Amino acid sequence: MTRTLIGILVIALLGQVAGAIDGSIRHVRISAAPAVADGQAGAGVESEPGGELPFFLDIAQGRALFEAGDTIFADARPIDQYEQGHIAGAEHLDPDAFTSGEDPDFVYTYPYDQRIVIYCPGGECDASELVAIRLQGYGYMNVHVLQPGYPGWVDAGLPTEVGAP
Amino acid sequence: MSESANTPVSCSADGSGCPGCVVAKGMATLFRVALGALFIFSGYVKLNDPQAFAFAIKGFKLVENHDLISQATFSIPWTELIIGALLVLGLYTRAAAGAMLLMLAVFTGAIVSVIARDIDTTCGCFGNFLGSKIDGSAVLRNAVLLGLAGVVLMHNGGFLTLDGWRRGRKPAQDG
Repeated sequence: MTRTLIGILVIALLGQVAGAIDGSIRHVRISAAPAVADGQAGAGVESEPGGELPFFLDIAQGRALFEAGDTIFADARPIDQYEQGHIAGAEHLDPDAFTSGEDPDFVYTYPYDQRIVIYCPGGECDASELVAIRLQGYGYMNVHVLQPGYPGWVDAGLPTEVGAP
Repeated sequence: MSESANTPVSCSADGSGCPGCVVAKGMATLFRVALGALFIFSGYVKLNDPQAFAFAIKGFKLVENHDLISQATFSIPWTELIIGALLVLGLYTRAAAGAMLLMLAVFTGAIVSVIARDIDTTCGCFGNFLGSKIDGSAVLRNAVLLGLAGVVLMHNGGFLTLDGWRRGRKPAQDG
């Protein structure tokens, strides 16, 4: 009985150690994981509605995804700009969220096959692309950048809202 | 030292203790290999898609801490792989079967708590395979698996175990 209990403890310990090692290695390599989390909460996204979309979207394409309702918009601007106004329903996800040493809540919230559109102030801003690259590193496969950014969205008169995340 | 001394069943190592023993140990052998293969499969599919399993763990709403979820995402499937491999080989069979019983009990408890709290989530038990719906059937399935693991534990994994081979190499301790 004692031997069995010790054996169980050893197995549990080995599992923890192997998991810790694997987790620390995979943290970097996780983009290699072929991940389609179907049936997960927040899923239900058709992978290719109306064919492949380019990485950079214009306002019309962004609007079509917004109106289809199954796309998550992510605001890559600093939090104060987000609070002053953002695309209706958008999450806040700036590049800093990935550099704190912890995974952002975002990657625990949405499955890999979730379509995500990221935007920043438009024009020369590269925050969207930084966030997109980070998300792709986690294994997200349907990541796009709304190139005209938030100003383009506002100019087109599309829905926005104000407030904290 | 002999592990067979611990068994509550009077079957001897070669199953000659009683008329039903060969059958019982044969069944235990079958269950041991099947459960081992199932755990290896289960561990493998989880490690193949850790993000999906992380979502599944998060969906259970038992753990909120991201570090714990990350650790569990990898350590649960690795533990399953280790248990599965030990069971298939018949090595440290009682410990492996005992660990499997404990894991299944914890999983079952988690599933029951999800049902009790009426949470709509996926099981993640076998990745995206074998029906990931959480309902009574998942509890029933785990209950069956618990029973099979119990049989394996009772009969020291049956025949064709490395444990038996190791004991056989020490004649003084056999039987």
